[in-house]
Amino acid sequence: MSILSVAGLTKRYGKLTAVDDVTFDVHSGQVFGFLGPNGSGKTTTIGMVFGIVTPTAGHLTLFGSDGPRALAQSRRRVGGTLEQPSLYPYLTGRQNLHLVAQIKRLDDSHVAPALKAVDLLAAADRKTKGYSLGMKQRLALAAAMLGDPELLIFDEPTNGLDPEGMQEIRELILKLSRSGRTIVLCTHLLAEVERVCTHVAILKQGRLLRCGAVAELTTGAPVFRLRTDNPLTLWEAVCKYPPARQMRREHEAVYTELADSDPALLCKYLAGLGIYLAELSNQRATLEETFLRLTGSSGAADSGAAP
Amino acid sequence: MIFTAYRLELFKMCQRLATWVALLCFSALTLLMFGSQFYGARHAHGYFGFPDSLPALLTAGAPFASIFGVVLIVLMVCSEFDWKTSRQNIIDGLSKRQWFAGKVLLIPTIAVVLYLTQGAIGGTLAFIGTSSLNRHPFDPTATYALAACGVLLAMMCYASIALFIGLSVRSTGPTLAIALLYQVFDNIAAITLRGLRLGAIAEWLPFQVHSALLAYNQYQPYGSGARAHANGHWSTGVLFMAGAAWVTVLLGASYRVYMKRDL
Repeated sequence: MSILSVAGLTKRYGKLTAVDDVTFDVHSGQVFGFLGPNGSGKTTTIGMVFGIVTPTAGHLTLFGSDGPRALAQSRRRVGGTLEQPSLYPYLTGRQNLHLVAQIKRLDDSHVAPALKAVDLLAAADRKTKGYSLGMKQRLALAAAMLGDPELLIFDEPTNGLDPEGMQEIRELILKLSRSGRTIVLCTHLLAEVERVCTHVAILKQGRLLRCGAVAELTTGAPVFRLRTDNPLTLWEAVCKYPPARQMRREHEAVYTELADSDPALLCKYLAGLGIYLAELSNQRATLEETFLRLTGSSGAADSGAAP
Repeated sequence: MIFTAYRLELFKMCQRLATWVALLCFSALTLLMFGSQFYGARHAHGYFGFPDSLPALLTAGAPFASIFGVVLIVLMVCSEFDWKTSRQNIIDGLSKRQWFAGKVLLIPTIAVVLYLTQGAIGGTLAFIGTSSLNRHPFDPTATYALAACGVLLAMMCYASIALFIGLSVRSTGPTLAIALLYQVFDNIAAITLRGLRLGAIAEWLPFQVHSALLAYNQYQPYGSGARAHANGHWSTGVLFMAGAAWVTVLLGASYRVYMKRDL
């Protein structure tokens, strides 16, 4: 069942197109990663889903509802954060959640369990201006979870956190996912998507480059690594082999995709030329490789060194 | 839900230290102002008590109250943009209309609180200073009531200007500067218009209307000597309508600016 459906969503600020004709679907139970470098239009797209940014063009359906009034009703079933945690610094953690509970028409009995879920019960009566960034992120997550929304959208929830903090947030998101909630996670960290998400959309300069299951993206076409005593002869032979595609040489090894995906035939072909392989291995493409191939850039997104 | 939004605004305002600091400063200034009159009257064999001091109690401190009203409104509106809580409130489920209504309802609340504070401080001093000597007759009750309503309307008018600037600028410091300097711009514009023999237009400028609303003479009965010295040539009814019209226009413009722009 499609929970969030976006078609041709576009946002222009004067001559700048921040989001350009983006189309994707998020289905129930998915952890959907929104991956892209800074400034790729992730936050603007999510802002449109939240209803705080008005789209220039396109269509948005939330829980099967569209149209301003129906969308406003459906947005009550969505929780989330946008960019950094937005809290009242002069209020305590408990008071911040009290405010959110009032907005969501919940009584205060929901506040303590939410604080406990993010391990902030001990710091609940301290003003949030004294919280660390990790504590603020956790409190924002607790606020988003109040009222048990069916769809949770988090924008860069691990931004600025130390590795331990990142791990805590990821575990929390995975826990939420296991409890059946649908989650949209905006991030520029590839490792985060690989570890947490089931599906991913890759954005660059406002355009959607690829959308699908993480497993599909990382195991698309197998890449074979070949090695012999004579790499030059091997390279020339592979280049003449008809099913070979996307060949490249790196140090002593030759990498190639095979149109027929049958390495046995390649071995037979090479043996026929008197080339006996010292190594033939199937290299699984990482999300990072897929991302770099799609965006055609290096360093556009971080690999997100994390525990 | 609008009532909930208003209740949340009150909660936010009451929990904020800046609110109490502003209120304390305002109380101290009011005490200084009425206190100096009180002691001045005692030492110079004057009189600071009821009913003679009622006009001063009703209107003399109102310019201060207006300014503190502006400060409080700016703090309550612009900080939400500085902390990005305005958009988080919408993400959490408040509609933009409800958020705006909560802020608008703060305007009369702040005006009443400041005016009551001023009245309580001045009134206490006047009560202490009241004696049977030097008593003048009371003005008609309607005069006092109209003066109080006029002052509240003036405070709401200036606070509406601040709300409009705040929602346009969305930053506390610049908004405070522009809102407080607005009275200078308005006065310069009025002088310029009068120089161009457009004094009739000048009188309708927001801050000119605000100033006229704060003049106690404005509310005294026709035919009394003081009434002749009232600012401009306003009749009280027209003045009230002008004040209310500016409040309406400014709130309408604020609403449009807020609803049209992304958060």
